Amino acid sequence: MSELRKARAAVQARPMWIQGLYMITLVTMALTGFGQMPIYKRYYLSDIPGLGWLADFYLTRYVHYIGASVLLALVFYAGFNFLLLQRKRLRLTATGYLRAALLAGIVVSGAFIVIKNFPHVHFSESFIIGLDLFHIGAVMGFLLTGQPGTDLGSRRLQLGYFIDKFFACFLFWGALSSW
Amino acid sequence: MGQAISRRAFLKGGIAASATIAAAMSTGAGAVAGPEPSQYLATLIDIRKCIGCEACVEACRETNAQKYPEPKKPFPKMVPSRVKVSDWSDKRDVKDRLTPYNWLTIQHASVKVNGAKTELTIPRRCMHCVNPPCVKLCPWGSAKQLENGISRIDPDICLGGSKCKDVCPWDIPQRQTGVGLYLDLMPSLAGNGVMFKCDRCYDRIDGGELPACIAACPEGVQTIGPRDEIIAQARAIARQINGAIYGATENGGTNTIYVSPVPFEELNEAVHKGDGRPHFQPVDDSMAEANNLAAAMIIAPIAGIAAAVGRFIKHAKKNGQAEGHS
Repeated sequence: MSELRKARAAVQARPMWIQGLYMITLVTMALTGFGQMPIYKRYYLSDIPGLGWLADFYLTRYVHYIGASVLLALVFYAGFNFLLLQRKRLRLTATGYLRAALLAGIVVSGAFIVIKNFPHVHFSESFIIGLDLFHIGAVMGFLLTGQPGTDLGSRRLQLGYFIDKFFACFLFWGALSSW
Repeated sequence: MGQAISRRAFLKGGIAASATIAAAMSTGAGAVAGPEPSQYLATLIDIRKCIGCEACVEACRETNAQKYPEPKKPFPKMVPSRVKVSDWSDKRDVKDRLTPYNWLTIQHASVKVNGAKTELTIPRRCMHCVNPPCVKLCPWGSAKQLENGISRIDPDICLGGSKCKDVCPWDIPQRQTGVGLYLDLMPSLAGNGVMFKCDRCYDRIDGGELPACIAACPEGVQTIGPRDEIIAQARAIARQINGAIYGATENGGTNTIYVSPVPFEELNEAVHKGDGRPHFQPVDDSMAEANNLAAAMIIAPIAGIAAAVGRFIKHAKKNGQAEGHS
């Protein structure tokens, strides 16, 4: 078996449910995160049957927090799994490092946003603006640099790839229209 | 309106702030734990004392007139067309509700106090929540909470998306179309003006003065001071008159505490409610539910690490057994 096949086998040997959960979490996070801007109602998305909840800022925030908890568990699982088991068999590509850095940026900036929302926590105005822009910028970068078979995913998750790209385009368009 | 901010300046500022964010995050330099909410500036509004003379309303309008919007017309065509413009610039005289040009209004309630029919008048404006959803959930950071607990909206940054109004339990902020940063960005596609509300004369307070509504009141309806003192004062009055308090626990606590001789359920029934006319209903802490999930975010990484370590141990054991067999 070639080295490449061994590597692919190692990736694909991971439980499918983790890959599926990761993709569902990313989609949920993008959907609810983008929902923190007042655009779903304006642009009819919340008029689609079953998507009315997207216009409820408190509900989307709550779901975003649940998604963040799942994403944190997956990120730490993947990170430690890589360090303990996969490091010698797999090598991260340049875009892999970039995506890992972007994901770390999303997680850390998200953590600061969570802290900001507690009572009597005061961040400076410029810090909050920068935090919001950094968070959404890192998300857009993360989604735009995604390729099938990277991260926890595999080539079997082509659907996830297309969902990923759809949200990247959606976010990009949303950001453009917001600006 | 304050000093205008150009798109270039906004972008430059935003990018510069973003660029510094990683460093700030790593050091936590941007994080500041503010004073305890007990030390926030709060106001006590003793409803018994208000005679409805509207001196507070007039003082508010006069003092804040230079902050009122001067919209450019015609307004940009909104896309999609169902997005409504909010124009109060031709209705600046409206006083019986909150508008971008009227940040304080007087509500009327006909109730019975000790068996006697009484007409109560109640000044209404932003409650200045201890943990204000309008500030915390603004997607662009254009609303801010000052260290003395005052919440205010920066008219130079606000895009008028009205999320602050949607998340406010009392629907306080009011929008004026045709002003603000959105005009310099993509006015048809995003944003819709600027949101306005009481900023409790933060600039006067900075200068050592009382907010205009308090200074102008001939009856001394409002008292301002540290929140814990104001709440103690409100409780003492409520005990004395067998009255009720509103604002101490609503939405997790606010910095505006009302004392009434009748229960607030009765006042809520009696006042005229609607857009720009706030209610007196009980309000749960709207920020609490999601904030309580933060505990799960602390446990989640530990669970992830435990799962990875478990897998590693299982893998090591399996390898050990395989080597033993060989």
